[in-house]
Order: sequence, then structure tokens, then C-alpha cells
Amino acid sequence: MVIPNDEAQLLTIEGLVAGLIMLTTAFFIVGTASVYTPADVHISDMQTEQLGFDALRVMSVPYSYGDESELEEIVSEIDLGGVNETTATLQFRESFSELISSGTGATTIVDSFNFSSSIYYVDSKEVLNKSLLYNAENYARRPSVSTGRYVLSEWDGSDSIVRFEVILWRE
Amino acid sequence: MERMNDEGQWIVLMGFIVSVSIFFLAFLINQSVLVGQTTSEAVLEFPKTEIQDVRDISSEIFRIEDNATKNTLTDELALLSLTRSNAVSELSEGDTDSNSLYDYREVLIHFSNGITAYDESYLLFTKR
Repeated sequence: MVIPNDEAQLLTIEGLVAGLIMLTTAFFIVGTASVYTPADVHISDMQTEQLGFDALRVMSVPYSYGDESELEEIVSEIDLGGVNETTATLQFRESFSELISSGTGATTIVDSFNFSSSIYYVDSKEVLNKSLLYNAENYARRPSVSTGRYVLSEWDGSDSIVRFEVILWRE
Repeated sequence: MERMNDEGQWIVLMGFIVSVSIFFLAFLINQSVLVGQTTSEAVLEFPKTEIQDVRDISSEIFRIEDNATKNTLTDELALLSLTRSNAVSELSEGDTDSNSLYDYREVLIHFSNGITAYDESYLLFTKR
């Protein structure tokens, strides 16, 4: 069989291959764009949660071996009530804010973090909670992450385990 | 077939190499988005900090000598963990032994939040 005009076969193949490469590249580039929807906030939430846990962890490490940690002290002071409670609440607010926004020390990190915290404790097989009131409404806002830590401290007159919980969110 | 004009072969080859490398880079960027998302999801899913927390408190509890206190504390921990973290956190004591320098007891940790189950035993040393 005689096929007329078959001179440009290599050019045809080249054209096809070039077309394929361009198509696949375009496919990858278009697929790369990702839309950040509200359902994706867990990516940044993860960092917030870790920050909260770390701050609580730092606060529950005593300065020297055998001492009470700052968090333990705060919990037992809150248990005492009255002026001790107010002072301890403010101390927690100050220390925790400082930890979650600590930069080099010479710079102030401007951030919109806010938090509210409460202590969960067991009273005759029931879990009750006591909020640390530094704002009157004790509100929180969504999306928020919850972090917490168990503390072994004096509570209701005896050694108890309480769970110190902090809800963190960005205003 | 009659030979065509075949003078630009190096140019054609370079063209292929360049396009393959662009293709490769596009592929890398494409994957990086997915990697960021799946990693953070995996990290969120795994209760690392909860386990650390239970672990830290376990040594504090089992350094206490009084058995009644220990039992009360482990019960409180189990209840708090169930209500607040939706997880089972059971602490118990295994064997005890001692050598000339240390008393040591085995601490058993069981943690499970339905997705991740974690069991550990370690020896808690107290200087004699």
C-alpha cells in the first residue's frame, strides 16, 4: 500500500509528546492549589494545642527537685479560697500568657490568643469543676482547642488528682 | 523512509530534559500540600500529650507510700480521664524488688481512647 505524504511522522510524534507533557504539568499545577476552608483549621489548631500543652508542662515542672511546681502551688492556693484564690488566679493568667507569647525576651509577640481555664476534680465519685474567674463571663469562642494536665496537689484537705484544663482560642 | 531534516536533535533532547524537570518540580509542590495536611491530622489523632500526662502523674502517685491514698488517686485519675478525655487510663503496680542501692517497683500503665491503645510498664526507682 502506498501512503502519500508521509514525510512529517517524527514531527507528529513530537507534537503528541509535547502535548502530553503540557497536559500532565497543567494537571499537577491545578491540583496543587488547595482551598483553605474552615474545615482545615485543625492544621493551625494542632500548633495551638501543642503550645498549650507545652506551657502547662513547663508550669508543672518544679524549679528544683522535690519542690512544688508552680501549677501545684496555684491549685492548692485556689483550694484555699478568698484572697489566695484571687492572687493564684491572676498569677496563673500572668504566667500562662507569658509562656504562650514568649519570644526572644526583647520582642513582644502581638497575638490574639485568649484562654479560660477551670479545674476538674472528683468529689464522692462525681466530677465537678471550678472555674478560674479572671473575666466575669468566663467565656470561650469557637474554634477553640482544649488542653489539660493532671496535677497531684492538695485539694479539699487531702492529696488529690485534679485536671487543670485550659481552653485556648484566637480572638 | 527518506531522511528528514535532523539537525536540531540536541535542541529537542534539551527540550525534553527541561520539560521533565518542570514536571518533576510540579509533582513535588503537588505532594507538599497533601503531606502538610495528612501529617497534622495524624499528629492530632495520636494522643501523645495525654499519654505523657498519664505517664508523668504515674510516677508521682506511686512514690506515695500509703496504699489507700494510692488507690484513691488512681481511681480519681481513671474517672477524670473517662469524663474529660474520653479515655481509659488505668495505673497499677506490678512486682517490687530491691537491690543494695534502690527499691524499685513496676508501674503498669494502660491507656486507650478507642483509637489508640497504649500499654507500658516501667520500673520506678527510689533510693534506699
